[in-house]
Amino acid sequence: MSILSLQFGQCGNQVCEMLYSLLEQDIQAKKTINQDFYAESTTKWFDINNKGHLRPRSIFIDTETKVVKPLKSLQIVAKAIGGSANNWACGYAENSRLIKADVLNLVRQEVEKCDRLTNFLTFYSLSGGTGSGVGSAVIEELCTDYPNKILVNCAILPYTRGEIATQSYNSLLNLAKLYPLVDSTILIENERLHHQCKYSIGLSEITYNHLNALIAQQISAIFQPLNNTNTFELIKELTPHKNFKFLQIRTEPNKNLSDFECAMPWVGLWNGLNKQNRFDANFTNQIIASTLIARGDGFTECNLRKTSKDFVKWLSKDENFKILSTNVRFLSYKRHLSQILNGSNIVKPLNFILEDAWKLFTHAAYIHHYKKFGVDEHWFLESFQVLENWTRSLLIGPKMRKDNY
Amino acid sequence: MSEFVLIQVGQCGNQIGNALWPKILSEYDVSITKNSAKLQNNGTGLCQDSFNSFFHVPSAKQNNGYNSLHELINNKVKARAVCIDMEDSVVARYRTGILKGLFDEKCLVTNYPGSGNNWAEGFCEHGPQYEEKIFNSLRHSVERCDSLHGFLMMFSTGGGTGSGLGTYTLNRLTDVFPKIERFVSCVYSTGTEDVITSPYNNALSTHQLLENATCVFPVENRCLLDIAMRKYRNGLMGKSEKITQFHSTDDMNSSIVDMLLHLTSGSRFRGSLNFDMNDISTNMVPYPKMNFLSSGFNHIVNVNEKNTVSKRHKEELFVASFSRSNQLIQVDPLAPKSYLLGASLIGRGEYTITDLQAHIEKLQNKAKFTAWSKKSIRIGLCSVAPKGQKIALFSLFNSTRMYNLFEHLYKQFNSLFKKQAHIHHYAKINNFDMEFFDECKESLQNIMQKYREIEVSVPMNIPRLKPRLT
Repeated sequence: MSILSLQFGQCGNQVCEMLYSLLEQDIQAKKTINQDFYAESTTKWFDINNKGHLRPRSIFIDTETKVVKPLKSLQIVAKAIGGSANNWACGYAENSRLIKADVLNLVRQEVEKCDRLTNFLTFYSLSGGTGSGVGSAVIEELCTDYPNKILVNCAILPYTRGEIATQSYNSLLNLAKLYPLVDSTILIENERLHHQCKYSIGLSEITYNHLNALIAQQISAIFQPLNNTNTFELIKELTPHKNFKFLQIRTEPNKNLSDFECAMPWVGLWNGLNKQNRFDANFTNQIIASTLIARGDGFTECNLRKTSKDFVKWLSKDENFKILSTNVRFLSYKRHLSQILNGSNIVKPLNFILEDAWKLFTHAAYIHHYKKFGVDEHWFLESFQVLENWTRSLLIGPKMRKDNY
Repeated sequence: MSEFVLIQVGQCGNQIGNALWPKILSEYDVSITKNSAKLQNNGTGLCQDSFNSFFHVPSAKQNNGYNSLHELINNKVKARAVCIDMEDSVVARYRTGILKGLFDEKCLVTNYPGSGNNWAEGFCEHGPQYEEKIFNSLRHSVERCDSLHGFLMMFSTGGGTGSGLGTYTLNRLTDVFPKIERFVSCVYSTGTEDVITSPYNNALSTHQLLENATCVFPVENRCLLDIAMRKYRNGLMGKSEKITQFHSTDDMNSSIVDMLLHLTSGSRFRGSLNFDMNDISTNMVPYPKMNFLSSGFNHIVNVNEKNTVSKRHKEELFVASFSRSNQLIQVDPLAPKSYLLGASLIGRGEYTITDLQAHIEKLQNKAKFTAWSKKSIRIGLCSVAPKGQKIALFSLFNSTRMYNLFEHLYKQFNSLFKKQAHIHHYAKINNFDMEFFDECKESLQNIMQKYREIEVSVPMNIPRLKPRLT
């Protein structure tokens, strides 16, 4: 079971740089303690070359060389095109043409090199041009070329306050393009991460490194080997309905704890995990399905007080809420809980995107940049409809009863 | 690394270039004096990477750190610049002056008589005449680029060569290199009109700029003068330095130079939130032809404070970059009648995302936005601060108060045009059509109208497709 990861744009590259260094750190620490885990984890993420060095099995893709230059010993497809101008259409229609062949070629090489490649993992931010635009084009191609491999997208949602003027357009177009194609999309909200850095970790000066570290931790906590359970199969089971494919990740604890705090029992971690829902304020979250992964010593299911009222009624309890546990520690944490869930609270950030984009669209702002590359008003309108369909179904769907049909 | 080709047209453009190149060299830690002691290498590794943006290094000699101009010239490093003037005097400085050897002889296009402060002479006569020569040298520079990002043009709009030949070149660039962005930094002689025909020249070239440039970063002489005066006064108050003479043009040009360096910083240097030049047009130009952007930053670097990085200092820089007196054009982004269509903030040096998020929040509370533009704010982080400073903040605005500039140009133009004064100078040029005047009048009226409409714009009634539940 191996993963090939693809990163698009600056954001994706920064996240993955963090992710692979974290994984290496975790793997090296277990080298002597737990041979099985070490072997499983290395084959999952890395290639081992003749000299015994670990090489991340990943491809970095960008259209601006100065961003990916510092990373060494990695496969990089970066053409100095000069960026995609924060324009999804430019990335999708223009730059992807120049870069797609190289990327697919490299993917094929990797697939051939690897014995059991089963999954693709992609990283990109929704707001920019390269990540979301070139990303959409390449992922679209991958879906047709490798229909049997499970593809999981990790898309990073921008700050709602705004980083880029066209972020709502770019996110909209990307989501509308990819959502029907891929198996599941893990959405990561910058705003939520920022909130976590500020309040649960207690940082005052938050840089992108902090956010990226947090993302890397979340991703590796989910995808690190787990008693021979295929995490990707698991993710597939989390998306039982074609209208609900957005996943979110929560982890606890997030900071390096002192010895004293390490004594925090499983119940404490579980409560901490539930507390993170405070970010959603008054929104009652309906969870369609979720999986809890516990890494550390002495975990038993009876530790947890389950709250069943949040779960949808149209799935049985066993399908709703799964618990997996392993004795192998995650990094240096004595106990570590991570939850991957498919919930309706993702509607909130999606609505932000929709409203912003609609506001821009009705004033016809920025449209001429997109029209230059063949994305016209009709395309926009259709994308709006696609995205609105889910937000609506996310709100209604969880409450759906039999008689709706 | 993104590369730029600088096109300097006319006396003003070349004078800016004259101030720009030494500053670029100093930013890359290259000393201009011949035999200087080795500079301390602080952070040069970062800078050397982006050396290619403005200079062509022969491929065999890549990866050398350069410490002096002498070394550069020995290694046949050439500046990516095309200098065009219809007079010899200013460009001659590049042939004989301190920067001798840095410019390719093929890229200097000169002629003797000048354009007589007449836009028509530059546009209609010298343009076609020198087109081949100009584009040969342009092609020569473009061919030496690996990843050309854009053309950076510098000229004044008041004169003949700069405005006429400059806009002609711009016009042709659109056809010859349609995919390469064209950034123009032009100097408006408003307030200090020293040429009698400059209202015509200004208006005629503005029309061309609206049509053909990707983004325009206009600069007004009256603002530059104010800033230079403030710098001068500030220099007098500080006891450390004694300024004996007030070099007005040098100081005025240095403000433009700083602006250009800030502007390209995102493209040249690395940063954790990348900001490329072509992002500017996507983020800042919501509608076609609304491509005039005003730029602001702190001009006066306080000697005492430049070594500390504190919250307060960042706050001050933020306020400074928005204040009316620091804009290179007479536009107040926070004026009661100014609606922002877009804003960009580039933090250079030790800026974090938290700082910029805080700035955005303040800006959103302080300034006025149109119904849709409240979130049209682009932020960027660049890890390299300008030479001699720890941090700097550069901001760009697209404000509806740009109206003032066009109104001023229109009034000046109309007052002459109504009386048909000086028209015969233009009419006598071959190929000059009187329609040029009408077109440019109409274009100015249109753009003013557009800005006014935006302030009161209402959403279009687009039927929204109903969500379908499946």
